[in-house]
Amino acid sequence: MKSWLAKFRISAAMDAGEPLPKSLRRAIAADPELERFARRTGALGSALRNAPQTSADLHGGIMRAVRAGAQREQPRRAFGAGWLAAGASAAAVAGVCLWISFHHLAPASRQPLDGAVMVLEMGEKLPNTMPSLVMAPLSNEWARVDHDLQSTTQVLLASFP
Amino acid sequence: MVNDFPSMTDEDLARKSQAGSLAAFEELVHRYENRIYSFIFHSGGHDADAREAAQDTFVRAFAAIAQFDPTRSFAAWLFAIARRKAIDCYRARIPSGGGEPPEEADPDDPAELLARREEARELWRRARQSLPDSQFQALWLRYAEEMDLGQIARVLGKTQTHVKVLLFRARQKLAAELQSASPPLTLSINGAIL
Repeated sequence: MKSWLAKFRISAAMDAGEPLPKSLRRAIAADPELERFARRTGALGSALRNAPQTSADLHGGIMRAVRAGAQREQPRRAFGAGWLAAGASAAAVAGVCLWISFHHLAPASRQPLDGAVMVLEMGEKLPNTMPSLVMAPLSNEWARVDHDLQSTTQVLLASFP
Repeated sequence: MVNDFPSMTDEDLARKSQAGSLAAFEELVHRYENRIYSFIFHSGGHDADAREAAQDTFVRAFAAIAQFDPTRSFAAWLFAIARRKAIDCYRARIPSGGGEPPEEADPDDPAELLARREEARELWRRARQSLPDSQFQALWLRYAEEMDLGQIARVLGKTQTHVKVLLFRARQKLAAELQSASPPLTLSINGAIL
């Protein structure tokens, strides 16, 4: 048992890359079996370091598979982003309609076409005021929002006498 | 465009990959493809299986690169994925010693170096035959990959103490296997005879 423990300590110290403690070195010097074990473990480690590395020319295949995997992921992400953008567009249009109806009813002094003009101006200004980094990936969605705003304007204009 | 990828650490490349750089990931593939293939192949796969598993390892790694913590070792993270792929590989096929690996084209090696390589190849072949998977993998990661105990523990999902025990047992068993071989296999490293 004592010998097993000493062997394990030798093995663990070698694996940790630590020098053997003085007490262990003394034990090795005094015990031929431990001395043989330490020598054998070191020799085995040296031999195992020459592990056969095999070259399999995998690079092209791996990169093709990685790219294909990345492309498969993209439509899924775009699908999610599309839903998000559609939701945001709907909310924006609803918000604009509420805002217009509220302001249309409140001040009597306002011109009747103010709301429609504001919506039209908003549709034109928003892409310019938003950072291009934000807008670039959502160009399709933005085109739809713009279309919705144009439609809203048409409806509002048509509703005025 | 000239890039400085070759001088970057694995973890820096992984960070760039997380930011969407496929070129940075390709450099990682370049660094690890043969090492991952060797690990899976020597763990018991056949050539075609090991190729497929190595490929799957990188596809999985790229898909999950956002989950990698760049403050830790990329090698340990990647080998942990490879280990799981290797396990799938064994499940799909009963191990039979791995077959013959593709020959390395290195005709200019001195005879002594070739002899040493043959000796190491035989040693690893016997290790594969006689050791359980976990012991073999611990041994491979320790000597072929020169990982420290902490990294091996992360790859295998075990404690460092457990890894120490695995390595101890693996070497004990391998030494006994070499002694009982007929004729006994001798190692000429440092004059030691096993």
